[in-house]
Amino acid sequence: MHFVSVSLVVLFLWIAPPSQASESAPDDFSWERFRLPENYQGHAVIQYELDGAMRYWNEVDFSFGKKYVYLKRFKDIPGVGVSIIDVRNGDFDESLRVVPSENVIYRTRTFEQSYSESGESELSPLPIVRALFFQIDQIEIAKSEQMDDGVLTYQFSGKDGVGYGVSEIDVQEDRIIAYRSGKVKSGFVSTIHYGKWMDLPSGAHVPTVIRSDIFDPQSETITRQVIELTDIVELASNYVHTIRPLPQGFTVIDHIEGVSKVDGKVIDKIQYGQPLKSNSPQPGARGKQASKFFIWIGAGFVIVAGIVLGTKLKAAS
Amino acid sequence: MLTRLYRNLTLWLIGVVWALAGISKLIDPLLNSADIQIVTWASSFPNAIIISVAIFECIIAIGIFARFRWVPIILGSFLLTSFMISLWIWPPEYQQPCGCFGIVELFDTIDPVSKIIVFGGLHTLAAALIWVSQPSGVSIKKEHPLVPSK
Repeated sequence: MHFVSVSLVVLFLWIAPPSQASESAPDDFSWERFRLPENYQGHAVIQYELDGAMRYWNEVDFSFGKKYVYLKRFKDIPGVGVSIIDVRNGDFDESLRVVPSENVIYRTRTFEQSYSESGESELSPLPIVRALFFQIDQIEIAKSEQMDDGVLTYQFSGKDGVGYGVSEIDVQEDRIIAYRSGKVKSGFVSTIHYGKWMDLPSGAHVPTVIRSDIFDPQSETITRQVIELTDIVELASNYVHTIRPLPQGFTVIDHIEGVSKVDGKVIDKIQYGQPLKSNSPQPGARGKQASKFFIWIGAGFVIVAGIVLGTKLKAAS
Repeated sequence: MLTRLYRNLTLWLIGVVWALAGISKLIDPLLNSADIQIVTWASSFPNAIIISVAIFECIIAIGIFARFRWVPIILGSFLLTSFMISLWIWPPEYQQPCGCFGIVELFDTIDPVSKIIVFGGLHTLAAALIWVSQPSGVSIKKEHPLVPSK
């Protein structure tokens, strides 16, 4: 299972050359049209469907803005407590993904390049509007159609046959109600429905129930994920989200500078194509040692059993 | 006397492990420990199979605590062999936790085969201790003070 990334569409928007707009496109992709807040925060509970029933998956504290993304994914495990999966922070300067279980922070330019962070589109249509807003002069609308129910569908697609992303949005009045993404060859693999819109005091509105259907072409099955948003608070339009300071003692795998650091001190260059070095044990290193230890103990038990039996047989004879 | 003590300790340890394995899988939501990043090998099987295995594990544990000896050890060995065969047919992903103990080992990266080896070794030891501690065989009868030799 995975979060469906908006990166396909925004990657296309980023790499697509400027071109003339489609004849039938209304071409109004302004921020005001979709009435999304410039900055807001909230909490999300993610469930997935299995055997017809909804199951708790994990939770997210989030804060989204015109120029930043913050996502803290965690899981509340009964008897164990809250375990943080990762924390993502992105703005036009840098994107940081903190992974406590690995003791590592990944620094990239994901947000600057894709106008989003992984998992944001499952919680809000804001990354779509953000990408449209910042790349308005580079957007090619492959198709736009008006359906009978008043829903406008816009399709953005890349060059056929080269694996570029293809994406579609359904717009009803001032709401993006669905987002489909996939690849030109394989077709749409995920559909996100934004529903149960909540009006905010400023006149903006946000969806509070989001349903994602992720299609697996290999098994030809669809996994459904339902997210409910609560505690939504609109932040001031001049709100500035701060990413730093970083937690101490973590290895920073810095893809912007091409080095890995600990507490600001460079410890190694990143060798692309090779495993990354970290100051903490590599995932699995401890497991490998423990596995060997377990095998030795098992062998020890068998040897002791043999000795016990041998002693008994000797005594019997 | 000492052999019986070792035997009982070994059996009780096996019983506790089977009980933990069975109960941890039966408790919801631990059964469904699917996570965005971590999905256990066990959770890839249908719930009916997981529940059946968990019940079987609990029966083995109950058998041991009820002072049965050979039957739970044979059943346990059969189950461990089944696990090994299943791991061979449907191998887990690299470093994927097996989910043998539900959520307890969600973040565990110990190779499931290693766990089966250590637990299988413990079963072998238990079987050996059961065999040597049971009062049977001609030699014992011959040397028993209450059984006059012919």
